[in-house]
Amino acid sequence: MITKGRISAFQFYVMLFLSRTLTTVTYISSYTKDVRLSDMLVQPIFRIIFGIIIMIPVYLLYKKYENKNLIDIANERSQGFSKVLSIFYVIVFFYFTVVTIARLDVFTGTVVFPETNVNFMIIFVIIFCCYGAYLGFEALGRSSVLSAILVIPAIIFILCALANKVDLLNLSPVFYNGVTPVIKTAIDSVGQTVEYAIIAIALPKVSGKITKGFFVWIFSQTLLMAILFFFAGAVMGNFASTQLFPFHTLASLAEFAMFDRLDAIFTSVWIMCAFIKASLLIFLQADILSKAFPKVRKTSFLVIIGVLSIIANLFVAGEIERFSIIDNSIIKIIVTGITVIIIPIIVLILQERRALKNA
Amino acid sequence: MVIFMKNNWFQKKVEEITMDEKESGQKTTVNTDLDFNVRYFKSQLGGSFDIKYRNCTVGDKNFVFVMVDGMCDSLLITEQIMNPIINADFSNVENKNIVYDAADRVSASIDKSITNDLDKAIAELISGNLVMFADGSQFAVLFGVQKFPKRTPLEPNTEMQERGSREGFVESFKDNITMLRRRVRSPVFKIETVEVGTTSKTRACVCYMSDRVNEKTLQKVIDNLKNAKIDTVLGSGYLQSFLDTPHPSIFSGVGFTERPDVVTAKMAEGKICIIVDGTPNAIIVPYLFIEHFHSLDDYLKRPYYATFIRLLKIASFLVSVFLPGLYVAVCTFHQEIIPESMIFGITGQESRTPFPIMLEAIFIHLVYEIVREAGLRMPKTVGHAISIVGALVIGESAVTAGIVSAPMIIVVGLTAVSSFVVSTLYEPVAVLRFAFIIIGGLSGLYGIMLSFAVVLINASAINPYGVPFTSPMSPTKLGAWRDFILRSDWRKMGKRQMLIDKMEK
Amino acid sequence: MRRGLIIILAIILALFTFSENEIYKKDIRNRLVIQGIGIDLEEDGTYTVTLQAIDTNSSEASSADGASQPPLKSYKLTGETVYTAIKSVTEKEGKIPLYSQNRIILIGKSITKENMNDVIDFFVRDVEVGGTVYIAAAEKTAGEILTAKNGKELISAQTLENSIESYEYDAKIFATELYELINRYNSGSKDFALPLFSLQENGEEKSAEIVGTALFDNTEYREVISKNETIYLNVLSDEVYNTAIAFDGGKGTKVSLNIVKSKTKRKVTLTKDVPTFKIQVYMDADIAEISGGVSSAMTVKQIEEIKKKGEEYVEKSINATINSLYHKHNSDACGLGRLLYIFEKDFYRKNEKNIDSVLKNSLYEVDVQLNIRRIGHEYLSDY
Repeated sequence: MITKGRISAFQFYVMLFLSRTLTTVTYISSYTKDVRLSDMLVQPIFRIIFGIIIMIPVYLLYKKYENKNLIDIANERSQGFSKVLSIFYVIVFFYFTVVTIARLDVFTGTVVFPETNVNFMIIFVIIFCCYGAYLGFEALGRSSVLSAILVIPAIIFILCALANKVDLLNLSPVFYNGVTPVIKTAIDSVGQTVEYAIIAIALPKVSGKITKGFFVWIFSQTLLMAILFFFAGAVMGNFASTQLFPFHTLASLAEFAMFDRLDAIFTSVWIMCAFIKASLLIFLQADILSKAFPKVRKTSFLVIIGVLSIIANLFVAGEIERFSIIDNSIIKIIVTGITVIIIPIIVLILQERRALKNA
Repeated sequence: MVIFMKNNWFQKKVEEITMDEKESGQKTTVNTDLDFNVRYFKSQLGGSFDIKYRNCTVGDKNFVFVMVDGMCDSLLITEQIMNPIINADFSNVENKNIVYDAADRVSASIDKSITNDLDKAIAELISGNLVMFADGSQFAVLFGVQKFPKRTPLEPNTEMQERGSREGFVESFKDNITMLRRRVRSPVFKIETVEVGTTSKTRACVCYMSDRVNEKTLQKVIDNLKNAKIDTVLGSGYLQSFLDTPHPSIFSGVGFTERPDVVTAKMAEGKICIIVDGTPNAIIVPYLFIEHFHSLDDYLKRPYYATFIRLLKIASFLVSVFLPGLYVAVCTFHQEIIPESMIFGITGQESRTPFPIMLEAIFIHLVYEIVREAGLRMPKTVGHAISIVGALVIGESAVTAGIVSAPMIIVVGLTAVSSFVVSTLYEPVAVLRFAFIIIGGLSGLYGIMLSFAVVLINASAINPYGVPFTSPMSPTKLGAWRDFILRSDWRKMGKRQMLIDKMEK
Repeated sequence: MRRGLIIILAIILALFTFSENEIYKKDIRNRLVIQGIGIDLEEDGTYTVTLQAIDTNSSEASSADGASQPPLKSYKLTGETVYTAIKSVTEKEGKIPLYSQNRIILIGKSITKENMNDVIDFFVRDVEVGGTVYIAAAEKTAGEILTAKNGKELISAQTLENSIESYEYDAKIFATELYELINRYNSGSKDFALPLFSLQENGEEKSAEIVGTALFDNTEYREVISKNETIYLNVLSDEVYNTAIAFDGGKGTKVSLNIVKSKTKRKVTLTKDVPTFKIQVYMDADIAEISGGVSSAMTVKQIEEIKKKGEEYVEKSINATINSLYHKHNSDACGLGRLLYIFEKDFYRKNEKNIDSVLKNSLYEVDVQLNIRRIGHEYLSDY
């Protein structure tokens, strides 16, 4: 790898902010009678609460073993156990990589190049992301900050251009079908957040105020989510529910001077976030595998992960049914639950028992 | 005899040479036989007409002076060296001591050294020194009497400043060092000399300020220069690869300048500058990305204007890199972005051209690069002709003939002008521009943004001597932001000098 | 060796991409830039789509009205669906339609609220079509307006768009963009309104003018309200930016006011299951003209009287419009029903299916406050 070592908490959480922003801006509206767009304004509150709760086991582990992640701690127990965990987390991150790039494929195929075969685009994206991962964690951290300088003003600019189209009467009444659908959506949203699992694994590579940074991150990305949903609802109203990517449509309604639509800016935002997220996930997979199997070079793992990602995405690409199968919220909730709640609790319990035994 | 025994300078020199001998091993030493020395010189240097041998007999003492005609100051040799020696009395001096007596007591020259290594004497000879042998002595004296044709320091063409000095570096490294000395009248300004190039043995002077330079970085730079495996070094650009980071990137962590005031400013920030003999460009390490948008004029003008100019430079850089690619991408894939008032103009114009927009863009930019390169290399007398032909070819005729469209000409013109605002980045800009044209033509904005992300991460991975290339933006060093894009007032900046050390990760 | 392999691989990939020829298909030279789309439903269930597109093959445009405009060409196309009709233009021109620059979608008389969904589905699905394109109704057929010529030139879609965009200066036009239409169409009552274009003939000169607002409240046919009623429809929708009104100022005078700012606050309360809509209108106006009246300085008392008359007039007009909309035409085009949906959701849920009759039987309280900012160059007297 070109660069090794740690990054600051600021860079790390900016990276996670961009990564989560991608999931938010590529929100796919599946119209149900239960959840209205205005409910999406309220679900972030539940989301914050759930997000903080599920991170408690990881936090406890971090407090006790500051410079180690789950896998390092499991390694103290047994190498076999840590290898199993390594492979499990690699599979989880691989799954989210495939989903991210599959979403990119759906977005590209629907919005950007509706009549073009986008397979070569997928190959190039994965190659570029592997290259980004190859350059290392520090390079990713630095480029995240630079990307954020472009992404955040771009989003603010689009929202400012939409300000005159806001009509509060376009919003629907909150909790129209009760609180339960909103809570379900919040849980679904937490399940979509692979960043919690990333925090659990990548903490040893981060230095600085991690806990404070976590709260700033969770509040800021939730705030962004709420603002985006507010604008989507207040500007488009029921129109938003008819669009596959409502935020892209929202950007296409924004007008500035002689430019009638600003969806090109949205596309740029989206792509930069996708690149950061996919590169980060690929990097973590290679990093975990190289620690579990130190005899194999990291570059070899990158190549293998890249090739597998290409095969997986080409299989999914082009057929919307395959995409809807893999982009299943139930799978994501289960996976997130295991990676962020169950495994950390198991590791914590095992370590406590070991400590008691030694004592 | 007694006088010479008390001569500490000679004693120390002999001891040094003896130590060197033990360390270096075998070498061809100066012979007491004058003829041997002259024959050795002739065998190594051949029959070059510009190597002059002057025999001189003073009493019963024989001397030989060897010099390269055209590299030595004849007047200095005559007045300070030869005349005093010819007119001196060596009757009481032993043969073995003759050379140092002549050098130390008789000649008036200040710049002198001795050696007993014939190869070293040859190297010094062809560097413009006068070599003096004396019959019976095992040492040769080297007199520093260089005088060769050199330029007067003029303002560099590539780095014009409105308010700055009008001096620029010249080919002679001594003159360049003198210019720096005049600006830093402090003992903290130090120079280490390294020889680079196995054949050319070019002198590279590593300049720094000892109270603020990072010692590790300094040692690394010197080691990189010493370990540079290269035959001849004819310019500072030859050394760029050896000093740059091994990470392959379109950007470089090494900077160049022709201005002594800029070098002084960089050294004051704790950076290291390398002056290479024979080239007016000094190398600066480490060099950050944002420094390409800084100029000395920024510090000589009001802060608000300096900030405005920096923003303008950044905008120009972005225009020069992205504008052609964006135009191609928009016209090929994203026509919805084109404002309604412009769609007819662009569609109508592009409909008349035979080439796809991407090929049109590549073609016209290639023509521009050809004209630019021709303008750079051609004799000045025919410069006007090329500019007229260039304007005619690329301009009206091409549009009238329907080969290229008028909007494309506007794009090329704007790009060309913008690319010269930040001339130090011209190399990466020129290459990236073509890359983005092709990417934009093949995959639209999607490909451009993805490629931009790759370029961004590639630049983020550059770490010249431990300092991130994208500092102080990322990693964020708020203290350095007073001179980042916004330039603070000198009353604030002058309180505490900004050092490159602070930006290390 | 490795670098060489990578470069070769990159070249091969690039060649594959090139050979797909995709890059040339969507090149701007191969696109037909559509400016206007008119849709009519025929009796046999097929669609007649009239396209107005920029003709890049002709020479520079001259213009009838002094402003430059691109040369246009119209196409009349038929198909089983809107999409198949539009796509058939590729056979005629050899170019792929570019919808993103489309300025207006005109709906013919044959298209009603019932089959509107079939018509606009394509425009909702296609990514190129912008949500901000204006949508309007034609008095007879959309085709006749888009193919009509004003002298030698076609009546351009830009002219039609400019007419609609004048809503910013004249509230007699009820502008509707595509996304607003979808929003209203997917709301409870599905009622919506569109500006109505009519082809006016003056010898050989033809022009398309907005003659009122078409209300799509009935599934079978549509109804029309006048331009004057449209002003108050905009007031009820809180969509007035700038407009002019004229009323009787008393003592034989006719006062013209330039409304520079208008804000409508709408509230709903439930009293014994009967909704009461409270509509408060705040207007800032300048006196533009007083005809047959004051030739000397205006007094404060006169201004107060004009203000009072103005308020009465506006209030009366709003009430008339409400009566027209809800009692005569049974249309919730101004969207007051949405207030019920948001603020009285339980009541709305209970009465969702007969919301029209609920709105018909609701009470409407209108209160207007008019503020006279300027009186022009006439000087003001204290007496």
